Amino acid sequence: MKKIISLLALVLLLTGCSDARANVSSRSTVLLTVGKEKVTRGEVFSTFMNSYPGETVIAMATRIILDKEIPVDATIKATADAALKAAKEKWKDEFEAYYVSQGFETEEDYYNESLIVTAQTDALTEKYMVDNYDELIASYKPRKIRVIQTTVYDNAVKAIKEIKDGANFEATAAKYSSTAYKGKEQIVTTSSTLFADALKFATDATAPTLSIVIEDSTNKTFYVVQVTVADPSKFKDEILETLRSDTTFQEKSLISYFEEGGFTVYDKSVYDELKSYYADYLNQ
Amino acid sequence: MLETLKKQWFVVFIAFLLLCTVVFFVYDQNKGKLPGKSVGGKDVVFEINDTDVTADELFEKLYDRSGITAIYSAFERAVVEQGFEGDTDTLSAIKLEAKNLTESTIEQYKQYYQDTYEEYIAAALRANGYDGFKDLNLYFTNSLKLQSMIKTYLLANLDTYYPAFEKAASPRIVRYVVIAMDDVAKPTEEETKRLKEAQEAWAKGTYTFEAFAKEFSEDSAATTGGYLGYFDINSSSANGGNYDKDFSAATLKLKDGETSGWVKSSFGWHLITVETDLDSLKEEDDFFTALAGHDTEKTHVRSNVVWAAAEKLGVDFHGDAKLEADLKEFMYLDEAE
Repeated sequence: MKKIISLLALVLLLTGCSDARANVSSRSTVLLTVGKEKVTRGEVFSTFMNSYPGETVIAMATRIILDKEIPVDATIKATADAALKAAKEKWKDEFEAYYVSQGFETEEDYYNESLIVTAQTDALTEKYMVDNYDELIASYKPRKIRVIQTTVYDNAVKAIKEIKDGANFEATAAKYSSTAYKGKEQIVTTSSTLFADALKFATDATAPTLSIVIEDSTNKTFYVVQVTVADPSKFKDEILETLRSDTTFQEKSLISYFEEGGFTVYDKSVYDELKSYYADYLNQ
Repeated sequence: MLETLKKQWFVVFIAFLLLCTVVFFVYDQNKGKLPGKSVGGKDVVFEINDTDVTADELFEKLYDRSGITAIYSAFERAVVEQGFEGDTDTLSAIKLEAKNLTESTIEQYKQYYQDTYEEYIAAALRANGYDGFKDLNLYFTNSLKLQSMIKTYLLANLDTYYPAFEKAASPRIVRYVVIAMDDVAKPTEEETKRLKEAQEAWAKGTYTFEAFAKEFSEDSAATTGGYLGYFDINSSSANGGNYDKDFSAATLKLKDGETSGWVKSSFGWHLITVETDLDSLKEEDDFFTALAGHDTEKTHVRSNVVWAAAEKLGVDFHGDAKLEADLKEFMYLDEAE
């Protein structure tokens, strides 16, 4: 019985463990000594961990994902080479000052740490789009549309009548649109910036159609939206190009690889910081 | 064995109950806690794609990015805590000011963050190499000790630093009088009357500047004879400072001991007088702050002070030549060498 109680007492001692905090090895190794005070590896590590290391953690994890999904091959190098050439042409004599200002000590560092990584990231986004095309179409609902935006209700009504009577949309927009929307055909997705009701009309359309007057009562503006292509399969390459340049989408694709890769954090301070500033990357 | 268990069934039953209780207690206590992970004796910070990234690897990456800054912070703190050589009076003044700064900082954080103010103060202190909230007073004490060390160093090296600073910044001590107006372009009858009375009184030439300020000036500085304190070219709003540009321009034009004529600013009308002699400037802590901050890319006063004190205490890099070179480069000491 005494043995059992001792065992249970030992187990009890192990309870109430606090959250995990990762420690660097050789914490007591002295980096330098001033007078009687020692600056240790552990002390410096603690300062690092208290100075918001989350961004570095995300960057390191991203690099692991990139190296697994997009190995650095001839295509990636060619893309990075082209970017390097463009940067040198742009900055000319200031090129060295430019990459130093970006935090890179040498051109090689800039090439490997920035240009190669950017090329890999772009390729990863591309891979994500290809691998998840059907889901993306269902979620982003890309459509080709034309828009007239006017502050005069009657002009919107006249525009609709003329278009229905066969007038050219762009010519009609030139007459009635009072803003940057000049009736040019454009691709929109559910993440595009357009007045919400107008965007909903466009992305919900299942066939080419023309809207009635859509009113933005807050800003006192009126929209006429014509959906020209509602079948995404007819402009797949253009859709991919649109999504590729969408920074929100790029991050979303990266986040999906964090989830797929089982990103798990074993340090409470890193976890708390990520929870506050990079919550979408966490799955635990 | 079975016979024993049957005989002692009650003891076994109690032991079983205890075991269940402990298992539940262990589960309950650890529920929601972030688990840790070690690989080959090294702590893991995170894993992804079956790749473990250890604290050692994160340390190396962070060291590459900002390691020398963290090491310098720890180095400077060690130097200041051991190398401060101020007398008892200076130390008492520092302790008092640190106490006041600690209290006012806590008040400010309390107003902004309410119940969570301690967490925010602790986070800021930890990012600077301190242990947490309890070190707030120590943080201010060290900052003030360093200020004092810089002042001592500058006093001993004024010949080196002051001439260029004087030429570039026009340092001076300022006293002023203000006849305040809500809209100086359209003064009220009352405001115009007060200005006229002041101008006539000053024109008699019977007042000292301080006495005149005490009697006629219309803000809180009147009680100290119009004392404004340290002022230089960077005090002007035209250069990012806090003072009206017309007031500043008039102030900076004056030579030592001169008093201006009546000067119009956005606050009203002023008389201004300045002292520019070095003995007067040396009485002002703000003078030393400005002097230490002047042209830091060339002068590196703070680094020089810290390094001089460190050498006196003795510095040992334990054979790490790269760390020594990196720290000296960070402190601009490599340029001197």
